Amino acid sequence: MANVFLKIDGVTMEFGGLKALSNVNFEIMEGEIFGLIGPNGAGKTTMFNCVTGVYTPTGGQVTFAGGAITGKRPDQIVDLGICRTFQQIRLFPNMTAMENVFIGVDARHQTSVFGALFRSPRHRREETEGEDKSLELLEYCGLRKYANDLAKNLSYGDQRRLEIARALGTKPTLLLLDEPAAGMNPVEKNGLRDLVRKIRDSGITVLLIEHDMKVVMGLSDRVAVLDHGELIAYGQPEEVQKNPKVIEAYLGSGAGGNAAVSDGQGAASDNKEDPGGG
Amino acid sequence: MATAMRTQLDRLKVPVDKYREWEGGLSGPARIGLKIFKYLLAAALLALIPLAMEKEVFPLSTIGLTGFFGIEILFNTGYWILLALGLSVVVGLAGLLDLGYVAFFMLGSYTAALMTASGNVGQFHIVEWSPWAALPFAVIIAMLAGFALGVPTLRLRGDYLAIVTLGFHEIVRQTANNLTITNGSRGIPGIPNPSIHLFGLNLDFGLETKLYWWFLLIPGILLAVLMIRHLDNSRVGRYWAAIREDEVAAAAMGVPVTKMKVLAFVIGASTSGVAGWIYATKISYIAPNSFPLLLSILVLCAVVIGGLGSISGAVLGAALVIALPEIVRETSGGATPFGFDIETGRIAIFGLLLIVVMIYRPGGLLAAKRRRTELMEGSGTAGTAIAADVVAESK
Amino acid sequence: MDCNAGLIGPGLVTGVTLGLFYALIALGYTMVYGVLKLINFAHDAVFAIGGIAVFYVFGQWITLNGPFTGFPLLLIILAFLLVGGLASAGGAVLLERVAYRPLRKRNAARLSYLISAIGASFFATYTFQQGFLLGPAKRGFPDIFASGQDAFSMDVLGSRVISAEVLLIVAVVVCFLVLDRIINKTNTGRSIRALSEDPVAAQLMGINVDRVIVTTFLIGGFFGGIAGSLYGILFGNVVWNMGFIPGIKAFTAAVLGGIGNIRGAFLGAVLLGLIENMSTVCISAEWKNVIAFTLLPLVLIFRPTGIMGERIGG
Repeated sequence: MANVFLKIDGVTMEFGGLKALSNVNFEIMEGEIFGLIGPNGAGKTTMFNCVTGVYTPTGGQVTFAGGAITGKRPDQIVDLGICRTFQQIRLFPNMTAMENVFIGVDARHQTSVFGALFRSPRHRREETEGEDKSLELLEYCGLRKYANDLAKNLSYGDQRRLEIARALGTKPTLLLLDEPAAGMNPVEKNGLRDLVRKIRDSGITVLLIEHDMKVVMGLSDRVAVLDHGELIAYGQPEEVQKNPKVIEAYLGSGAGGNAAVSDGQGAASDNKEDPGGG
Repeated sequence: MATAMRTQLDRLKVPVDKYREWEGGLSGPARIGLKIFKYLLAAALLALIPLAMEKEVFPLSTIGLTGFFGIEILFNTGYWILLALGLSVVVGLAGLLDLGYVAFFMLGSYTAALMTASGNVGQFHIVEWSPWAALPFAVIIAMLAGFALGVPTLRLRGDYLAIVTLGFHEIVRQTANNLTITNGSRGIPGIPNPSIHLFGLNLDFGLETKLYWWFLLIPGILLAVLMIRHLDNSRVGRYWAAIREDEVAAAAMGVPVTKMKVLAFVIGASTSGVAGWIYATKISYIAPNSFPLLLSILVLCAVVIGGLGSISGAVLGAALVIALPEIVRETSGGATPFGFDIETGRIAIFGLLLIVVMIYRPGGLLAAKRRRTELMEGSGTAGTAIAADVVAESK
Repeated sequence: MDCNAGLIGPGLVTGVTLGLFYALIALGYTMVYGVLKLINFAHDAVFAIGGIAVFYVFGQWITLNGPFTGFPLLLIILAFLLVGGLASAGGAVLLERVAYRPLRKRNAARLSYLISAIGASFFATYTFQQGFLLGPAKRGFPDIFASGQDAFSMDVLGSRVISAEVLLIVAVVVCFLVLDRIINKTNTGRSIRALSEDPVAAQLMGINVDRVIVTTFLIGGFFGGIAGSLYGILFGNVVWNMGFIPGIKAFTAAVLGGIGNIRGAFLGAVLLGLIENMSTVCISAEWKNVIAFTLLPLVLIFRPTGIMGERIGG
């Protein structure tokens, strides 16, 4: 039986008078690909920030593998096995692709200042192992040939993959991807889909924010839909797509509305069931 | 003509590359042996410099770097290299603007003074040990100060940090000026010089023995260089680079950002502790006025103009700020270009150079290559984009 | 603490006066911060230019036969302040053009701006120290108020407030009122506020960013120059590094009140002046700078947005 891996429990996030998230509840099971969708400004990235420690939720709790992680620092979160990518790519632009991934890999290293100063055996070992692991991860994400190129010189699609490679370096058990397909062409999107599946199949749980309905519905085992900070639907992709509230949220805001309707079965007026959110 | 030069330089590259290949192929112990040999060789070469000055060797003789005068400049440049190396770690490697670095230098000096039999009758001492015993404490105190300053303030944004560090320098200086245990503004004279009486060697490092002070600086400098190179090419160095590039992304990848920044401060302060000790035990007299805020800015000039984050940059910077003006003054015999007195005017020139360097060669003259590209296209910080960055951060 | 009650009244008055002086300088820091989100380290030199310009124009080139009273006094005062203000405004615009704009055009990192500004400040300040300008000593400022027997003074809370101080108070208050008006009621002010609050949107609205930035430097510089002129009048001298300590204090004041916020700058400065002066009165003059310098990190750590927050319109 799959375990509850990440639990979002009544999370609320307020900035001044603005409620970016209101009492959101959902759970992610170990080993699944979970999609978090919603129109622009719905609070998806804010949710990521609450999970990864960039924000401390003003209400509610985030639990990971049974332990509360609300309010921990981002580097502590990485230690626990959660890593993320960013909506606006945040690579280290003047470092090479390999160096970028190395930073991720370094998260699992233990060389201390003293180790570095005195060139301890551990330092030596981790340096060579780190190099090998970084190249391996670049290969895994199809970026091996760019190992020595500066990150800022990579194509947009490759940069997104590099961010994923770097995050994988931290040996996460839960990977948070924030709009990994944004700005990609259809070929790149297919490649990305395969990569995400490959990652899940290797045992990593994935939480995915995505705007592109085809990508997220095709990949996700389950989805949650946010709108204006509230959870409005939660469950299997096919059901969620038909949910009238979801359709209205997308059509109403005009963002991605077409995709929602076209991938669903048309108007939902004859659907009596209300899967209702969490 | 340029292409001819380039092909010459390319030709030089071949043997250099071949050497690197051979070096890379060496086994572990052999590589360590080679490294030791390199540093010993460097020490020997450095030790030759003052001897060359005494013998008035060309080309040192043409620029007046001979005898007493030359060795004095060598000494000053030497401890400034220590200062520049330390600040280079803070500003160059970790990207933190410290405008009050000399406060650590000052603390190192005062530690040396207060832990030896210095000063006039009634001077307060913590202990009265030999200068050598005070040396490790000078370093430790400086590092502790770096820690104490860093922990509360390194979470602050760049410009705020800068002003706070500036304030720190003034706080330290004013406190030394106001307390009786430091003898206030009169300072502490009579700090004992170190001496070595071992294995038949009888060296008293006094005002007369200029030569030997440089020999004392050499291991200090080489150790600092070793320390920096080891840190730079390690997990620590990579983490510093990541923090410089994008703090937020670094934290999201598990980098303990504040810890790393504090570490940079502490490591940077260590060299100034050594420099402070040497300064105090050589000059034998320190006072709050010996450490004006201007000095902190001058060390910054040295690091920025010479080259951020690189060892050769720090050396060049120290030479530019300390040695060059002296040489110019000697050889020009007291001329005043454009009416600028060299002693004070050089600071105006350095100010101008800071602007010029930031615009046209942001990493400094001999910058670490990576640093230069970083500063040229600062990670998303254009004129208005700076503001956008900050505004977005605060939302 | 060994204050006695009799000292408090005068202490407060002097403190407020001092604070007002800092407030005028703080304006320059806070306004530039508002639009560039950067501390203009070189504002101390901009401030100094004002006083130095007046020293040259009215002390070296023209000879005044003071002291003055009545209407001629008013004219002279206005002339001093205007010359100071204009000189500093010019200096500020030059500063922006030489040390800041090239960096903006090159997308430079924040660190570069800070270092460039420090360079500009030191270049200017140490040039002022040269023999062909001020030289290393204090230089006497032209005397305009009557002194000795004819000196004007008022009694406020037991403190003898002399004419120069009255001038300071009046001038600063007027400046702030004028600036408040400019920021809140004119188009220029609107543009400055827009740029300060949301640079991207401002640009999309067609605001000429370069021009607004120059205007901001100009305004901040102008008021800084008035402060420089007032410095000369108040202390009777100018000196090559006159900007250094007031600059740091003014910056501290701006942060204390909420950097980027004009009313905050005023409040923070008055508060700082009071704290500083009461420290002098009740503790000792030696420690007043230490207290001011320690106050800043404390504020930054415990209330980083200052007392009034960071919005320029207050």
